Amino acid sequence: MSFEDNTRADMGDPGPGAKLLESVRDRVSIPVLLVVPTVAVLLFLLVVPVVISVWLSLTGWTPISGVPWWEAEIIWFDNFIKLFQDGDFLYSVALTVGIVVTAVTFEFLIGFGLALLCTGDFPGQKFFVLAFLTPMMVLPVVVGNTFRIMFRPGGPIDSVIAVFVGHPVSIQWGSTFPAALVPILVGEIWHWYPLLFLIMYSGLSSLPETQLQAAKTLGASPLQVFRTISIPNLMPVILIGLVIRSMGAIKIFDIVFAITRGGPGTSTEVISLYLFRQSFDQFQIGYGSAGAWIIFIVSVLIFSRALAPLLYEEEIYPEEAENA
Amino acid sequence: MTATSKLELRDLRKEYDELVAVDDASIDIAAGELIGLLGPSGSGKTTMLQMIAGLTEPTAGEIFLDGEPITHLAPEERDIGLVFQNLAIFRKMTVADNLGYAARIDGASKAEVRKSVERIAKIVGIEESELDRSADDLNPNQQQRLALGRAIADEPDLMLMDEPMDNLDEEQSIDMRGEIKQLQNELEQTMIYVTHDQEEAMSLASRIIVMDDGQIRQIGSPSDLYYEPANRFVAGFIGSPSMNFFEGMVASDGLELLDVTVPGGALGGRLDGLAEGGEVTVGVRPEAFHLADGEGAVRFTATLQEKEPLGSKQLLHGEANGETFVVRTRKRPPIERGDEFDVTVAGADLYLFDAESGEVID
Amino acid sequence: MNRRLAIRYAMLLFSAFLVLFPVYWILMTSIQPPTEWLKTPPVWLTTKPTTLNYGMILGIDFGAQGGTEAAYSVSKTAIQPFINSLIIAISATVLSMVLGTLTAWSISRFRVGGNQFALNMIAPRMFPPIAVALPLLIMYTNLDLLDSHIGLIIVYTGFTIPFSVWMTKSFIDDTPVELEEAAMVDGLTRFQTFYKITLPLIQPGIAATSLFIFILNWSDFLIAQTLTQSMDTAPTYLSKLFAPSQGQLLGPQAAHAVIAIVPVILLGYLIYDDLARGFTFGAIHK
Repeated sequence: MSFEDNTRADMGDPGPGAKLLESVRDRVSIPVLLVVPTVAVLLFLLVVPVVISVWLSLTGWTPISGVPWWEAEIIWFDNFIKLFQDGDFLYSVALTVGIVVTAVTFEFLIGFGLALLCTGDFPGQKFFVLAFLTPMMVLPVVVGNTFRIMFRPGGPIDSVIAVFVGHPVSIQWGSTFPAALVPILVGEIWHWYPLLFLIMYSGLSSLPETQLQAAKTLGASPLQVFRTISIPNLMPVILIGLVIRSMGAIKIFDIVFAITRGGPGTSTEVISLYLFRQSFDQFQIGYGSAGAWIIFIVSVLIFSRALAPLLYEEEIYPEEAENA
Repeated sequence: MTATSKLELRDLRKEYDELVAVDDASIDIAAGELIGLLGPSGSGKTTMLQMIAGLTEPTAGEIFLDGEPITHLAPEERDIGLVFQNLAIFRKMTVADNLGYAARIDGASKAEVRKSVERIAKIVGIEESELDRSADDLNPNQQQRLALGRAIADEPDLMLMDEPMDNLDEEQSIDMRGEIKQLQNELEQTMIYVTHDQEEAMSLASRIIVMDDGQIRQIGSPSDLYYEPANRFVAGFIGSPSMNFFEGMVASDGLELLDVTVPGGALGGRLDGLAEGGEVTVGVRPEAFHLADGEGAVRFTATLQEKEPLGSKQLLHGEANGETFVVRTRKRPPIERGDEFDVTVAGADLYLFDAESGEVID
Repeated sequence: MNRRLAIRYAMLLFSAFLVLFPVYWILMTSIQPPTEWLKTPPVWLTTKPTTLNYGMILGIDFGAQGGTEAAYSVSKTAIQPFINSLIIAISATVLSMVLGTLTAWSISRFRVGGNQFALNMIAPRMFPPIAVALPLLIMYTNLDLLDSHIGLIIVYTGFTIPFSVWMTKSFIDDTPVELEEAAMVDGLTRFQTFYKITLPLIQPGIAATSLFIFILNWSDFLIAQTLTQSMDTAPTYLSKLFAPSQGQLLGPQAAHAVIAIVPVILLGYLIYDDLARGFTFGAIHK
């Protein structure tokens, strides 16, 4: 069976119209056709809401104003200016950044540490890896609630503390600040370290084995091998892991909602809770949308800079790229 | 450079579940020797190297370096260098950092490291302009030198090289071969050189260990192995084109071979003590054949299947009695495919091997 | 067993204990009667295990145990919400993976969309969900997609496509084009080379990505809450169990949580072998 037998031109003899259609199809080529449904879905889901959201952010619309949203009065950038002077908003940003940095740091350390423990082949590895992955598989709403209960006054955490201090303890974890940050952070770290665990585990498994061996034959101790070979090779993975998790951590919502609802007062009001309050409590939808846009733009700027060193593209089918 | 030490392996064994990768190997290597470890893929050569280097734990047996037991020492505690089959250069580092790695690990100062790097680069033939390039950017030839230089820089007591020419083409590898031999000589570096290419081993090493299927088949100098193979495997593995093998049978008056009987006398008494009817494998080197004008106890007629001119020599592929063989000769008989021609061999040029065990009969 | 191995196992067991403790707590609560839920000091190991909580959630009568059954009840069972969640999460995951791998392949082989396509795909995920939820609510009300499986499936698919594209693309990049070309010489069309040759080779990437996306879909609360009212998914149902009118129904909530973990753990167990190589997010190239 030769290659020629399978070119479409040989299957019967299509007329000129069909041949034209074929050449058009070849020009347009399959790849574009494949991408179209995806792009369509994304367009539908993102462009339209985004346009609406942009519109809203430029207005001062609230549902209780009586007018439908498309007839709201445009106030241009007033929302944005107000936001930069809004103490609550700025506080929520600072608080969220603090939480993200702390949580992601610990998630990385724990995840990496456990991944190191799990490398290699040893009996029971499957059990331990699955066990370490479990927290990520629990519903976020459940995580929040569970840690709220575990940190209740006189609850299990307090009992453990009581063992160390020698007398019964009852701490109002959820209702005082900054104590409330403890169950929030512990819960968030517990819930999400498995992602970093998985990423580092994957990365460690992909390390070039012979390079590690070569380092050993050259006299490097295990610690030196780790420092001089493993870590440099893992940097891209570490970077991606931190970025991905940070992107997710900024949106922290369920846990805080379950434990403190943002309280006491607004002391634990993270960004998403702030926007939530603006939109659903105060009904300031326009204002809330503007806040979301600020967060988005800042995030994109920061994260795309962070990822820049990792991006590259290679031309695989150069002739196709010209025709596409 | 200090004179390098000797290595001793005693009953070294490696098993993986059912598979025996190395079967009770015992070897003694003298200081300053360049010894080849030769065998087909899967014969256990790499496993052997890995045990010597400390990257794999032996199942049984002991290893001594300079008389000191090192069998269970970690690789970083052994004074042994290894050039890997896939080179294993540190791709994310510069050439200089690769070469200077061992020194850096030892805690040498930046100046000392740099000095050592420049010195080694000169020895293995890396240009100074290449030193600060990324190791990943080098071509295979340069990468080979880098891998070699990196190992040498550590000044190991013993150097192991695992099929280092794998990544080079024929010409490059012959050039490198010469350089390595020279280097080894100058540095008096004890070296074990693993390869599956018997020509390479024969040209480089003073002694060769031939392995097959985890077992050591023979240890000897190139000419020992060539002229006095201990068994059929070694006989067939060494020499190119390889030895021809025929089926023979012990008869009352001699050895029956093809359609000829070789008188026992011509075989120097090797048939004594062999049972009649016993099967023997007979080996003949291609160049041991003489054409029609030769003298020899064995004379038979064959049909020419193919002629292969090789410059000053040519190979004649012949067939007789259903068995095929290759003759190497300087002569140019005027025969074509399908023609018949006469061949003779001297009885002394016949190698006899036990048909079952493959051991040489002498 | 030598010393190093013993230390390793000790650390593993200790870590596993710490990590699994909250899970243990949930499990224990799910089989505790109401009297033990909020006791001080807390009950570490129940002496009166009961199936009451599970019975409440699932609407199944396991036979009255432990007393005080009549003291609490839920307005409807969790069975329908779980089924909804399964349907939606599985469909959205499959759809996202199909579209995502096709797109990733197109980008990888044909350079559709140019250099920055990969980053452009991730950017939408940085948008605070709340702000997207509202316009979506508006759109869906107009399109009558509220309270529908399809509506949520579309949203989840769109939200996770950036991941399915990004995570699989690097695996496709690492698969040599030559294999596809060789297959084409043998007579396959370009598209066939995709699902016959390349796809099987990137199995770890597909497994890991599917697990990740499934978890995202399964756990979503905000979008589901916004876009549904009469219909419930597992997370929205759970939040209703928290509502003040229900009091602190810790037992049934815990039972619900236990059931909710099962599909995810099952998936993780099934694709375990592929996990190790699948989660590098494109950071490591051969």
